[in-house]
Amino acid sequence: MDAMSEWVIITNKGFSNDDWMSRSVIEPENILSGNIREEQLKKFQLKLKNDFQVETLKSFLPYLSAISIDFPSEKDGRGFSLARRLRQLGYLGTLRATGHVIVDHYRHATQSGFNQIAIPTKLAKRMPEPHWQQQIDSITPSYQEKLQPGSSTSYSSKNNILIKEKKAIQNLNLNNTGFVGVVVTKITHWTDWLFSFRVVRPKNFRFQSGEFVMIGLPGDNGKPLLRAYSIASPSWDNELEFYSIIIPDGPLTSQLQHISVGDNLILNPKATGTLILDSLLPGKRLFMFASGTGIAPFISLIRDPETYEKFEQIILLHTCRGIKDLNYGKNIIEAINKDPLIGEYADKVFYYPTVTREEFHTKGRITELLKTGKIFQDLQLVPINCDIDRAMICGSRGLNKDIKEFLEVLGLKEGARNRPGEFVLEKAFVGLNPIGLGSSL
Amino acid sequence: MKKILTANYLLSGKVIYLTSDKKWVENSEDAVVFNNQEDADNALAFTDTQINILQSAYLIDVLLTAKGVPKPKSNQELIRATGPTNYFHGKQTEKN
Amino acid sequence: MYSYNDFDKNFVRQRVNEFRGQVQRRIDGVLTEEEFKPLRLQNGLYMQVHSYMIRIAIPYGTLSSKQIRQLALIAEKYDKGYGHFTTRQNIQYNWIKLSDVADLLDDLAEVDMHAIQTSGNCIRNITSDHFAGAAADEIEDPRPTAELLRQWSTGHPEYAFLPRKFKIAVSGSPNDRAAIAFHDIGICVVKNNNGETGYKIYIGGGQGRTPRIGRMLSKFIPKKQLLNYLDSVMHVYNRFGRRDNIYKARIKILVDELGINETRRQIYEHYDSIKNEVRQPSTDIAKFITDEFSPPDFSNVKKHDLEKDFIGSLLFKNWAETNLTPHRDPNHVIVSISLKKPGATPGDASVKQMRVLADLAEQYAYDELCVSHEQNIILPHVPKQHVIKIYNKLNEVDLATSNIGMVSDIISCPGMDYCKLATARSIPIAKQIATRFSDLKTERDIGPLKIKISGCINACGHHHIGHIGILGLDRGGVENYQITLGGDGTEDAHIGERTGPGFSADKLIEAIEAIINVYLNNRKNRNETFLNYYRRVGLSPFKLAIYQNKLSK
Repeated sequence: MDAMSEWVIITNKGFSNDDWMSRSVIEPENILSGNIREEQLKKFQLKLKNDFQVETLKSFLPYLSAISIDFPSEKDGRGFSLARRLRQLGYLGTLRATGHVIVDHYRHATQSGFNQIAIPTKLAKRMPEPHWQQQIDSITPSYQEKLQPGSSTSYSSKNNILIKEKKAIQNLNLNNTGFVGVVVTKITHWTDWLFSFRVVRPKNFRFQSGEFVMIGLPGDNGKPLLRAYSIASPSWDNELEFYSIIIPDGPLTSQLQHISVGDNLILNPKATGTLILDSLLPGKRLFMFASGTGIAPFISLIRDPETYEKFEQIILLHTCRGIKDLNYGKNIIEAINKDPLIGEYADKVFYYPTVTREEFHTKGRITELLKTGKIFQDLQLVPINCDIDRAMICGSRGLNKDIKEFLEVLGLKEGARNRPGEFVLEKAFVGLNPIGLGSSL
Repeated sequence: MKKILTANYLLSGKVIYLTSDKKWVENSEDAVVFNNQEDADNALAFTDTQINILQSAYLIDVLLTAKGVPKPKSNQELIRATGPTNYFHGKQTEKN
Repeated sequence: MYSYNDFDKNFVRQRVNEFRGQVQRRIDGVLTEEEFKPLRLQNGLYMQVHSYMIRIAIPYGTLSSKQIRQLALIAEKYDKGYGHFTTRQNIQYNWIKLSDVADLLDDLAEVDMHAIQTSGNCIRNITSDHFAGAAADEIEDPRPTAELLRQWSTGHPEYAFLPRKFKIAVSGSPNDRAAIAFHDIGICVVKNNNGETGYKIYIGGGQGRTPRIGRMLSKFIPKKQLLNYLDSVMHVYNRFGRRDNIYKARIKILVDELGINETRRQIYEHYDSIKNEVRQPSTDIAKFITDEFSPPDFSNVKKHDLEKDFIGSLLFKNWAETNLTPHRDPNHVIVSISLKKPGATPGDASVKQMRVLADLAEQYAYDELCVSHEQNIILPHVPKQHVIKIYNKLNEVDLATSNIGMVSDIISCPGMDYCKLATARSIPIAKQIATRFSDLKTERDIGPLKIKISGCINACGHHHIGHIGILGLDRGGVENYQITLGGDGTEDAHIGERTGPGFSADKLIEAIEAIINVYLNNRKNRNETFLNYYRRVGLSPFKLAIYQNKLSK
């Protein structure tokens, strides 16, 4: 029997093909012995027994992209603990539960951090795909997710009403409105006031990396309450990702923070914006200037291979008030080298975070750090030159104004959609929120 | 040796016993008695075909009364065959 | 009391649907019995002696009138007209059909109840003090903590397939009424030197085959770190607890094998790595849960002199002496309702009795009841003026037995009459002992005495912590009962000592009588309780009394 027919792989899309076939199997000893170079590790699949001391692998986890944990019987739950531990230790790659995993373990597996399950073909025959699909479709938020601070599922009676309203959205008639309902697939709270969420991408919805779109909830009067959000996912992704601030009294974000997986949001499927590659004239280096949630369009572009086809180096400068506010961007940038699509470009990305209100190795406003040249010294790059450098700006009104002036002094000319230039700036959000992208919604 | 085969119905949970014509009955006195291990094992193997209607199946030791009626040997199986001793309910109410 | 919000309601409904699917998968052959078993057990469903048995969770024992009424309805609809309250503050029904279970769970969900994690190798129903919220000696109501733990442990993806079951109890008072020293984790609310409230944690206590008193794991854990801390305990247990031998799989054995210091080191290694990153729970949730347990407004209740009600009713006076406990509000009392009428099955309540309990709670007691781990029902807040009305009503349905804490208030597991694991019957033994000593004069003369009976080594009847413990075993097909003395489940925790060889069922009663006579004839005075006398003199006078006449065989 060949390997192909021995195992069936299950992901959140149902039965899938094994995309690890080309990966050689390694055991932890191969890694711990130091015989494999770190940068080679991403090519392998690492097989772990469920009694393995995963803490010993901590320093290798950033280099690994495929780990499988053994499930010897339906009664042995050690693998769930190992998965959760690996995620706690910072492993971001694919995690596969391999062995005697039954449909009724699907919830435990996904909620402990697995993204794939591999079961013997014989077991899959007894438990065919529809049984798994039913589990996949019926996943609801767990108590453990709810207990997390800033949880998307909250408690007060007010929010019980919200949940009821959300049920109403499911039945909301969007016919002839041009709007579509989109289902939330993931919510991550990064700090008490910053969270990101993902929704299923509607069929036929097209956009270019860097564009924004209107998304939201039904308002009190039954009319959709939408606001502009940059799409933080790249144009090839089959989900849409957004990054939002929570404004305590804001009519939209104060509600939006409580959405849960499976909820419907309203999307106006028309994307637009100036922060697209086509708005820039050809160049060698692309500078991205962002403050606060203004990093979102760049997070999209930075995950799009086309960006690297057009530019040799990408320099992302992100400023926030506090260190924790950087987490969202930092996590994604740090994961680039493990991304199968753009991992090979990881060394082209230069990331320069700064904070204004806490002690940090790069403290201060971007404009100051630009003017003093500290940024270029720190990154070991030559200063901006209008012949080879292009730029995009997305941030607070102050940041937009300062950077625009700075670039124009250096001789860069502003472009727009359909009128490419040497730099572009997103005006759609300006003047709405002091922290960056976002209105007072 | 004297053994009878017992099980529970999967859905009702009721205690049942196998008869000589391979039917399940609730009265242990109607069970077929196996006098050798081979017959007992064959009967047990037969239950493998019925896993979707049975909860479990196993052999128990019995004694034969003067009339030749099987009576479970162990206290637990006796209680299982007749009903609990603290209330008059269970199987004892179903027998004459 | 905690009332379910939409999240809880949805969650429970979801799990009912899930179970309905699991039953169907079992019938269809998608799941084998081996695969189905852990799933049904996690929904409280056992295959027992006569039928399926289902165990319903009553978190920390608290019930509303609506809930106990529904429990009565379930007994009527799906069982034989009664339910059995257990030593873990739950209720079980003995005569259940698998084909009814999903409907039964739906009926439960209607009143915000379920059977999730009442069995199986997972974190079980969280138990607590049956006087919670009412006791005068409480540092803090333990139920918000217990409720938080209920939520945290319910459906926990990581801890559904542990090496073995895991029991947690919480006490809010230094006077332990929740037997926290005999749980896998025992949690006691304490204050530190700065006056902050937090938790003292015990680990690896338990009864069963290898009884252990919980070992102190931490003297003080800040409130906000409790979930992180327990997460670390569970994580270490799930990964390193033994799975090769079912009798060595409980966390107490891991603690035995590693020693408490190494256990602590491993737990802290994990805890230190997560405590600064994960902040559980969010403070608004903790506050919300606490607010849900705000006590009723006691201030409108008028002063009432109970003594006046005693005039002309000696029986009421007798009952009040044993069944009432002071409440933290002087115009209220805590009423304990005995489910131990001599001759009846300990812990059983009929449909009619449950409905009367519901009425009483609703009319007189702020709509709140609590199941005690001693298998009685508590009305935690009763205005003194209503006590006599409650007593009279209880009398009508055989619930006015005045024996709380006395010799006939016996804890007993179902034993071999219902339990597949049992090696002997326990209910008939309980009935006989209770009947033997139940005349009021004898019982009052004996004073506080806790007798606890288990029908097998698993010790569901808590015999290890009975002042007199009885363990039923099978000796060559004959029921045989061992006696232990001096057990204590309170803050002064002790495991009972075995007297020696066991007794047959008929000799056992004589032996118990001999033991009680040793005490009665030799105590210093009436203030010296059985337990204190035993601690003073030890096992030998008792051994002499029960073995000299060759009671044992």
